[in-house]
Amino acid sequence: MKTQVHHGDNGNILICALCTIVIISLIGANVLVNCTRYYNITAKQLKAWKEALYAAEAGGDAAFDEVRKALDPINLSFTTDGWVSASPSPSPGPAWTKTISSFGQGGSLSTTVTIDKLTDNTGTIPATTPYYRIRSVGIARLFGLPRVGLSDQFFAGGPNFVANSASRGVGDTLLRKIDFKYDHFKATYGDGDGNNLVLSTVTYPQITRRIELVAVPKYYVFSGALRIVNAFDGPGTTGFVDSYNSKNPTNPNPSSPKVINNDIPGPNTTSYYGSNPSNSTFLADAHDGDVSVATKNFIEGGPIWGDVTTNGGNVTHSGYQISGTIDNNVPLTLPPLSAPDTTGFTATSSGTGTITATGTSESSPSGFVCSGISGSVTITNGNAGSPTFPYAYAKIVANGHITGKITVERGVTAEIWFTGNMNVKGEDLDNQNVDRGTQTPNPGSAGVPPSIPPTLADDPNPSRVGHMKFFGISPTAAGTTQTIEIDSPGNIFATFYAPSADITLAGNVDVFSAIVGRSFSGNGNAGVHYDKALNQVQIGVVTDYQIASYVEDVR
Amino acid sequence: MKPARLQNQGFTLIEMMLAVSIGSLMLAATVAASICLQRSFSAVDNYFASHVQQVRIIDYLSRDVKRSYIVTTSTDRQTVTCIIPNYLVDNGSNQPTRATPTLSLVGNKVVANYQASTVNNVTTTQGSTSVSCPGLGLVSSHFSNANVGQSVVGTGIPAGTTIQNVSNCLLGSCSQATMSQAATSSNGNTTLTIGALTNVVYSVVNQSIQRRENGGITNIAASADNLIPVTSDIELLNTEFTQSTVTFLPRFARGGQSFLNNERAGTTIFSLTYLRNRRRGDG
Repeated sequence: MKTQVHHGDNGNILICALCTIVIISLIGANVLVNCTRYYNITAKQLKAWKEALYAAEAGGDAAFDEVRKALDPINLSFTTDGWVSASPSPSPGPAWTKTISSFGQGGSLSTTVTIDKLTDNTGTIPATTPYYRIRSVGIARLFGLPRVGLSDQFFAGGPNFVANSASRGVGDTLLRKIDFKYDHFKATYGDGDGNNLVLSTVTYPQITRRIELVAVPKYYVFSGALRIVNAFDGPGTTGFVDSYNSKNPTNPNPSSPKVINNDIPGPNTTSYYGSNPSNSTFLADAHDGDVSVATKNFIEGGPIWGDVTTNGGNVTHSGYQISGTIDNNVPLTLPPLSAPDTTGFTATSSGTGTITATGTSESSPSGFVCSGISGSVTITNGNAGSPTFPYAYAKIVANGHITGKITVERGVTAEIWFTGNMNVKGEDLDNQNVDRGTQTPNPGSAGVPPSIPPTLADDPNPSRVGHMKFFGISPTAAGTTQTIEIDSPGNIFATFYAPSADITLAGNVDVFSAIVGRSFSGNGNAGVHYDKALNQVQIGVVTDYQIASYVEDVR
Repeated sequence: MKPARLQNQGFTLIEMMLAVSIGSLMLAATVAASICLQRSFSAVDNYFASHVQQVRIIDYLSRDVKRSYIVTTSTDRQTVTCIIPNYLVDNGSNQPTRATPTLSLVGNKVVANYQASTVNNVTTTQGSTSVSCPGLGLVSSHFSNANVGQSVVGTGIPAGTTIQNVSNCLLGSCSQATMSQAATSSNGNTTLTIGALTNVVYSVVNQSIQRRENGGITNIAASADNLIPVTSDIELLNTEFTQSTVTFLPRFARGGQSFLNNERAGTTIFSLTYLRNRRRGDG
């Protein structure tokens, strides 16, 4: 009989091997779980976090586009393309809102944007020119299993969210603020200002980002004598372009200019305030009659006391009489000028007549609208008898041509907008104001403060030229051109902003001004004398809007 | 009956030694493999963990740089200071509200401010804490008593500077102010932004990356793998951009310094971020 032999230890190796595999598998599984978590963070959470910002910025772009459209009333901004009035209406208002949803991967992105119309009352810009606050909320759905990938847990202090970052968590939780079940922002901050707190359940885990943009008006400011979109041919062969500063009390009044002969930039040339070595106070202001042309088309008639820029031109000091620098590689863009909103304006006759201005500031002028100015129109100062502020402001929109005489009485600042052509003599544009107002001995300049306190009768606008401002509204019909032709006799004290107009100065016309036009041509003695006091926002024109501020609400 | 012969008779010493040797080798191999695998797993785990922190650092920086007025970096490029608009109004109730933007002019350009204002035509002198402006006009910008204690940024003003006092005041308009730090350059016509600005500083503290917002510290990353953030800022006319890289040294890297450098370089994450606000000075 054989004794049966037991081999009870035969499986030991197998068990050891299995245990080893199990242990290593556990370690590997743990690593895989961790890596999955990291993958969720670096892929899904990061994707959603960035896409939420993209969504918010898309909303911001849509809103900014709408703001830019608001420059032209015919665009009906804020009322079409899904824009509706915000409800409840915020204060100050009005406000408009729009929601763009279901875009991105699987329609996972959405944005809601609100535009608030704000008004500056500090005098930085005219109160009639609004600026806009754009608040955009971008939401991105977080793909993947809920809670998978959360690197840090919420700390105690709330059921699923807490109010402040100190107790909300750290790391990615603090940075990305994922809403797994509730919208933490609405529950904690409501509308952002602590109003309307609500426990709002989210459909899917999501990440929300909020940005705020501020769109401010972009001004064209008269910073030089001439800005020409197409072709420049001037000044007249016996005229010249130079500058002066009406705020500088040492300068003579342009009505009795000091003529300097045999001065640079060429022999036998003349300047009102040229570089007369005997009087350096004129020199400082005399050489800023800058000319900028947006093309290469530059023909010089008389000398130019200032800088010249072209875009592709061939202008040099040797071939031209130019006192300043020359740069032939400067692009220049001047957008068309849209018609202003004339809601509430008073309709008036286009023939002979009197318009009484009673507006008390640039931002609240007396508004008038007419079909053109063909007779003799006088804009009188309805506030002349005021013991505190004897100045008045008017804004006239002429839906037609200007061929008559326009007189702006002393103390009146008049904006004259027109859709047609202008064909007048210099003496027809009668600006009866004077430089440096009527009362102010020192209205202030860079480095020189105005009198303290100012007398109540000071004219806020020191420039005579700045009291008569013409705006050529760009034609909207294709192929239509606008012309401005000014003949002698008579000098002109007025600004011209007409980016679509072909401007011609004929004969012995001196224009104390700043000019923006499509083209410019001057002959004879025609010259342009730029008043440096025009270089301020209050005398400029809004040509566009731009984003001046970007912040993200990181709560 | 003949008893059955036992089959599990003892081994000879040679057999035993051979068996023990083979067993030891197998066990050693298994243990070594386990350790290596565990180390490898740990290294992979750590690599991804560090990568997550890399991304977080970059995201924090990008978010803050985008909304800054000005960003300055230290000489070693490891401390980054962001001056950010103070968007939220702290009313002390843990329910901050959003500030309304106000406008001011810098030259002929309109800028927006949150709980801040600008003073134009300011004269700064290198090495001096005094600044001055024409500022006596009611309609022009000027210093005021409200500026005392507030942050100031502008060309030639070091980051973190505040207004200590104002002087030469008339009707609330002051033409002189004293700063907490001296200007680093002279300028005859600069613009200062003054207000309750938010000051965010990123810095490396031991092996942690800290973010301090107005003094409040948050550890945004902590690593035993020598996370190294490097940021440089490039100034443009009206804005600037920052270039940031974050690297770390993987744990499984073994070798000479050149090898380690290459290993670190292989982990680089790069970010380029533009400031979206008009630049308010160069610190």
